[in-house]
Amino acid sequence: MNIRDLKIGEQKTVVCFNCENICGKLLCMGVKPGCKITLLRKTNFDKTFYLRIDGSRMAVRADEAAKIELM
Amino acid sequence: MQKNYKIALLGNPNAGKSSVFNLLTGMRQKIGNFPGVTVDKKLGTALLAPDFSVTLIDFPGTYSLFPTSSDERIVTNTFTNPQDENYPDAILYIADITQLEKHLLLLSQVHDLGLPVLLALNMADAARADKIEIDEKSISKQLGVKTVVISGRTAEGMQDLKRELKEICETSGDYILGKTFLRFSDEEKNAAKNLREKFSQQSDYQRVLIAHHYKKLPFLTEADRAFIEQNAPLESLKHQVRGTMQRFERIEPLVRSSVTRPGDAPDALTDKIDDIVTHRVWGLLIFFGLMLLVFQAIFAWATVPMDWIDAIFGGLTEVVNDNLPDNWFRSLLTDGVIAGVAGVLIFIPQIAILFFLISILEESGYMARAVYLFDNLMRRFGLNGRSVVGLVSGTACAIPAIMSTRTISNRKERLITIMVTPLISCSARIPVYTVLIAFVVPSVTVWGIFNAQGLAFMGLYLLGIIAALASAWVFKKILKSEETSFLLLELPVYRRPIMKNVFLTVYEKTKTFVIEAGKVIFVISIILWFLASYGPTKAMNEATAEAAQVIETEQLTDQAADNVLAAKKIEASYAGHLGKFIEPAIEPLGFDWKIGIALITSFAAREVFVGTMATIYSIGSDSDEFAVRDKLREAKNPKTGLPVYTWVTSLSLLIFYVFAMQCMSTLAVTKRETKSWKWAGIQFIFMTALAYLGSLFVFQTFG
Repeated sequence: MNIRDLKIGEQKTVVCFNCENICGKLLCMGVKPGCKITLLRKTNFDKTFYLRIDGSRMAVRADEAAKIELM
Repeated sequence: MQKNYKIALLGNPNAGKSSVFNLLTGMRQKIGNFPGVTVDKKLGTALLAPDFSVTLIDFPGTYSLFPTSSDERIVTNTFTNPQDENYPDAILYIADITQLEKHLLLLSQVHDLGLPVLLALNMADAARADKIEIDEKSISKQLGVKTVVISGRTAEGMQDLKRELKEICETSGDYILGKTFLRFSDEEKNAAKNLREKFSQQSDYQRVLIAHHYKKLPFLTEADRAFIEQNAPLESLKHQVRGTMQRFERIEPLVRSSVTRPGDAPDALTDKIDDIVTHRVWGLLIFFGLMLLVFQAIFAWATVPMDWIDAIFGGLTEVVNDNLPDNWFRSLLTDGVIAGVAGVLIFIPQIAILFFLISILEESGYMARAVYLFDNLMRRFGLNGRSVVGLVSGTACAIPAIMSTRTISNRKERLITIMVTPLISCSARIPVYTVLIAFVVPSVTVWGIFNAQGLAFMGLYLLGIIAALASAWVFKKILKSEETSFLLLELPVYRRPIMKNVFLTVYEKTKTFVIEAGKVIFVISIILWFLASYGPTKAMNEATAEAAQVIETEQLTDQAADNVLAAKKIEASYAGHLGKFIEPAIEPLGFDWKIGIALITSFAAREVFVGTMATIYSIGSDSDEFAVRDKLREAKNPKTGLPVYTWVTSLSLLIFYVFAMQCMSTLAVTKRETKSWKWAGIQFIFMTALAYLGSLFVFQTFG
C-alpha cells in the first residue's frame, strides 16, 4: 500500500520508494525506510496530503504520495 | 590589517538561518548575485570582536549536497570549487535542535568537504519549551565539530558564537580534516584517486561530489567532463542513496545518545491550529479573510501615507514654480525630476505594508499552509500555492505583488506568476475605468439593487483575472523547465514572528525597490517629460502662435489661456508627433491621435491618462475625472462631426487598459526580479498584443 491508501489518522511505516527521481529528495528531507507516517488530513478532491513523518510535518501531492510504499 | 575572512552560512530551510544572519550583521547587509543564476545573494559584515570583522554569505537553505533545484545547486557549485568567488574560509552551520536528526545530514556532508565548520544548535528557547534536553559536548565530540547552543529569537549564545567563529577563522589556515563522516565505497575511493591530479586543490569528498555532479557543474570545461566520464563517473542515485543511508545510520544513534525528548507528541498547539487553518472549508475562509486584510491594507490604508508623499511633492513643485523663472530648467525640475522621484517614492507605503504583512505570514509558518491549500488549484495554471498572494496583492499594485514572488522556489512557477500578475486590474486603472465606463454603461439600477456601472467595473476586474489565468496556462505550455515539479513541503511548527526579521525584510525590499527599480522609473520619467515638452522648433513656434491667436480672438482668461497653450504645445511636441505617427496603427481600434498621445504618456503610469487627456482637451491637467469625462463627451471628429467617444470607442479603450502593460514601474520591477530585460520585454509585448487584439476585436465587432 502507499500513502493514498491511508485513512485519516492511520499510521504506517515507510518500506521503500518506487520512483528514483524523488527518492533522493525524500531521503535528504529525512524521509527514509523505517519512518512512521501518519495521514493527518487531505485537501478537497484528495489532491494534497498533510502528513506527520516522525517528528515533523510535510505536505505532498497525490502523485508523490503514490510513490511512498508503506507497511 | 586583519585578513578579510569569508564565512558561509549554511543550513536546511527553516533552520532559522536568516535570524542568525540578521543578528550577526544587523543593517550591514547588501544584496548581490550568485554567478549565472537569478538568486539573490545576501552578504553582510559581522563584527565578531571590536577589531575583528568578517564577511558573512547567506546561502540558500538546502537539504543536501545533492541538489534538486537551481537554488540548491548554487551550494554544490560553490563548495566543489575552491576558485569560486564565494568559496569561504569557514562554514557556520545552523541546525534546529528540535529537528536535529534531519538537520545533521547536510552537516555531515559539509563536514566532509574539508573546511572548518562551526555547528550552531539553534532554537534553544523552543527546545527548552518542549523540554528537550541536549548534550552539546557529546554531539561536538561525536561529530568532530565545534558546537555552540544559540537562539536566533532570544539572541542567547551569540557571544559564544562570535568567539568561536573568530577562533575558527584565525585557525582556518591550519585546519586539516580528520576522518570523513562518510566511509567511501570502492568506486568513490577510485573516483577520488583518479581525479586527484586534475583537481588537486579539492578534498577527496569534493572530488567525489564532482564525479557525481560533473554534468551540471558550471566551472568544469568540456575536457574536464570528458575526462571524468572516462575515469571516474559515479552513477548518481545509487551512490547518493548508499551515502545518505550510511550517514543516517551514524546520525541516528548519535542524536539518540545526546538528545532527550519527553515524548513523541511534538507540539500539540500546531496540530490544534492546523485543524482549523488547513480545514477544507475554514481553511479557505481564513485564507480569503487574510487576503482581504492584505488587500484592504494596501488598497485603503496605504493611501494615507501616499497622500502625504503626494502632498509633499506637490508642495515642492509649487515652491520651485514660485521661485524659478518659467524656462526649460524649471520644467525639467518639476515635470521631469520631481515627478520622477515622486513616481518612485509613492510606492513605498504599499511595498512596506505588503511586506510587513507577508513576512509575518511567512515567519509564523502560515505561508506553507497556504501553499498546501492552493497547490492543486494553482498548479493547473502553472502557478504555485504562493502565487495566490501575488495575484491578490496585484489588485492593489503589481509592483509589491511581483516582488512578493521571491518566496516561490520553483523558477518556472515564479516566472509565470511575475508575467501574469500585471493583468490583474490594479488601483491605477481605477481612474481610467471611472472616466470611460460612463460612456459604455449608463448609471442605472439593474435587478433592483446593482448599479450597472458597478457591475461593469466588476466585469473588468473579472476579465483581468481570466486573462491572467489563461496567460498563465499558455506560459505553462510554452515554457520548458528542467526542474521536475513536485511538492515535498515542510510544514514548520507555528512560531511567533521575530519582529527584527520582519522589519529588516521591509527595509530591504523597500531599499531594493527605490534603488533598482527607481533608476529605471526615473530615467523613463525624464524621457517622457522630454517627449511631451519638446517638439520640432518650427512646429512648437507655430503652436505658440496659434494659441496666441485663439486666446486673442476669444478673449480668454489667464487660466483658460494657459490651458489652450498647453493643448497646442502637446500637439506639436514629439509625443504629439508620435501620437499622429501611430494613428494608422490604432485607428482600427477606434482611437485617434489624441488618444495616441495619452497612450504614450500613460506608459509612465496608467493614471496619467486622465491628466494627459485633460491637457489635450485644454481643461487644465489638474482637473478631476468628471471634468475630463464631460469634455470628452463634447469632443467631435472634425471630418465627420460625430462624437469621438462613442460607447464602442470607450469600450475598446477600456479593454485596452485592462490588458496593456501601461506601467514603466512594473516593467522595471520585472526586469529587477527576473534579472533580465528579456522577460520584461516579453511581458510588454504579450500584454500589448493582448490589448491590441482585444480592442481590435471589440471595435471591429461592435463599431
